[in-house]
Amino acid sequence: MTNKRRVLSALALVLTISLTQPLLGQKTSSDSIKLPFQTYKLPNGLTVIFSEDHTTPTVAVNVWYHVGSKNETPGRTGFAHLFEHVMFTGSGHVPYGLHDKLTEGIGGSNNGSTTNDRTNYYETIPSNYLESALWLEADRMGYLLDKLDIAKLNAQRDVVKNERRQGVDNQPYGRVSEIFSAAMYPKDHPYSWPVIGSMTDLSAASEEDVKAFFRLYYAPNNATIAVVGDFDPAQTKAWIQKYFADLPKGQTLQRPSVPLGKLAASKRLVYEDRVQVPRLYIQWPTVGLKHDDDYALSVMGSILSGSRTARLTKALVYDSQKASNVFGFQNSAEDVGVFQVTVVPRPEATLTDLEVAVDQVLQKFIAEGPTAEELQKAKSGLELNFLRGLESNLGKANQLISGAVFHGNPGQFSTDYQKTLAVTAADVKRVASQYLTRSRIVLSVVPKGKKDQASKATESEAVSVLDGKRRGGRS
Amino acid sequence: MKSQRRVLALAAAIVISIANLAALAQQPLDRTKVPTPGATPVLRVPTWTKTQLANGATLIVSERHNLPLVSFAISFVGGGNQFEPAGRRGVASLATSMLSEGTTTKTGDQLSDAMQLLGTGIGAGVSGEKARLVLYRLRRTSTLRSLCLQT
Repeated sequence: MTNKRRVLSALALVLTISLTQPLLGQKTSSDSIKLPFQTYKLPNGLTVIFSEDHTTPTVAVNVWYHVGSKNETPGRTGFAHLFEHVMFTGSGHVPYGLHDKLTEGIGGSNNGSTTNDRTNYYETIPSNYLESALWLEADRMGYLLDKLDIAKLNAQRDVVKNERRQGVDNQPYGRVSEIFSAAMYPKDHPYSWPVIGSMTDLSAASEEDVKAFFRLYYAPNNATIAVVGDFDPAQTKAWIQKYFADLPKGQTLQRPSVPLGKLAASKRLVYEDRVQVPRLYIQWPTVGLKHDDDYALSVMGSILSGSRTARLTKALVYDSQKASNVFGFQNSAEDVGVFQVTVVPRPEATLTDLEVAVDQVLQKFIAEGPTAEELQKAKSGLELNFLRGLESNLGKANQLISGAVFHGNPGQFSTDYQKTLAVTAADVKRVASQYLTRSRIVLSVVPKGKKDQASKATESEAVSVLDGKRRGGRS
Repeated sequence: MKSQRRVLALAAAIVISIANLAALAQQPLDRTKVPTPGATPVLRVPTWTKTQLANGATLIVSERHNLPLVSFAISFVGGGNQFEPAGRRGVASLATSMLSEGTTTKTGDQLSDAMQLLGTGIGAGVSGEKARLVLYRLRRTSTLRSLCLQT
């Protein structure tokens, strides 16, 4: 979910958003999302967000660094994700293992995740352990490098390489995402390489390369911390002052504008994988999460697949029974986005048949747009998913920080919610005809030695892969 | 009154911050010191009511009003896979899978459309002792009854 930047005045803003969007003409005035928050900034640039919820005596601490794989440089990919591992190996004043002891060891949990755009680190803990969680986060923000040596780096480098083997190289269809990234964007475009990086780059990273990356991007001015759950704001503010205020501000970051994906001509690729069943993937370049069309594109995804009466699902899985499953969805990052359709065929169906079947459904959809009922079903489903994402402290923290990082406003969720509910049938029809008629990439993943199973096999160009880097097929 | 209290709370926060800053100025923070945890918090268990329905089912209701969502779960004790007869393994999950395929009054498609219009997510699972049906839905005042009827 998405939208435009709104400036937020700093201190103690408490908001309760009432949502009165009518659905099916029913009375909904009593429905509301209670997600009050306050936000402020430390002089070193650290953005702080608080949201109290005393339902259970637990609290989530979530730190986002506005750095992801797109901030890496070609030849040095995988650094942002590498840090996701290094950050759990101890820091200046925290010996290795204590982080887990003070989170998992007391019944809580911790983890981190990395995308193209941001990296997050979080813990959910019993509320009486909040101070130690803040101490842990401050120490790795300020003093990680004090304890980072080449032995530690090498150990984590191997862990990450193995993660790549398990999750990408040895995973059926595991390279689809990086094949698309390389084919969709020009060489050196920040979204053209995979988040996990390549084996060559991971091997080549020197201790100094890695440390320089940390110094630039893991400073308070590039971080946002959210505390959500059962806590006392005044006390917590004092702790944040105590542990974070003296961490030095980092270099001011340049954020170059990133061009959207755009294909001069459609591409047709085939990749041989160790799989038993072929699959068909189609991607169109669309827009990122700051663009208003993201709302209608998300609604379109829910109209095309996800339920048994969704357009693609009904046509391919239930009526013609050519596919065992089909997915269509808008996948939006901070600066770019794609709409993707994935089709898993039944044994007797060919990918060529399925591509034709998909196109027939889409052509009809582009011509007529959605019905009022299709629109309502899709929006209700998106609304449900959105609300369910706000059920946990951690979910609320991610929602608030995402707004702060990508839109400069933790309250962005209410705009996203309202704009999603405001999408019209005409909006969906327009984005369908605007984006689904563009040049696209069709990728067939086929069993080894079965290139003839690709959709329009004779027109498809083979993707050969060497060490995580795609060769060929790039225009 | 309320805003007065907020101002006081804010003032208290500022005082704490200033006191803290003063302390920092006096001696540098010893970061090797692991913060000691506060007192063990009291667990606040949500309240609920329990009713026996005329058809024998037990109904448990617990209210929470922070989001316009209602979730409910139906457990069929005896629907678990340990109750499957010999030679009919898998029948418990097959039965739960058939729940979305239609009823005597609605086809699978009609059921799916009705559920989607109400903003409903549904999940079904089978464990050793019971089968469980879980529903999440948007809270729309007049539609809860119709959903129950369809279920």
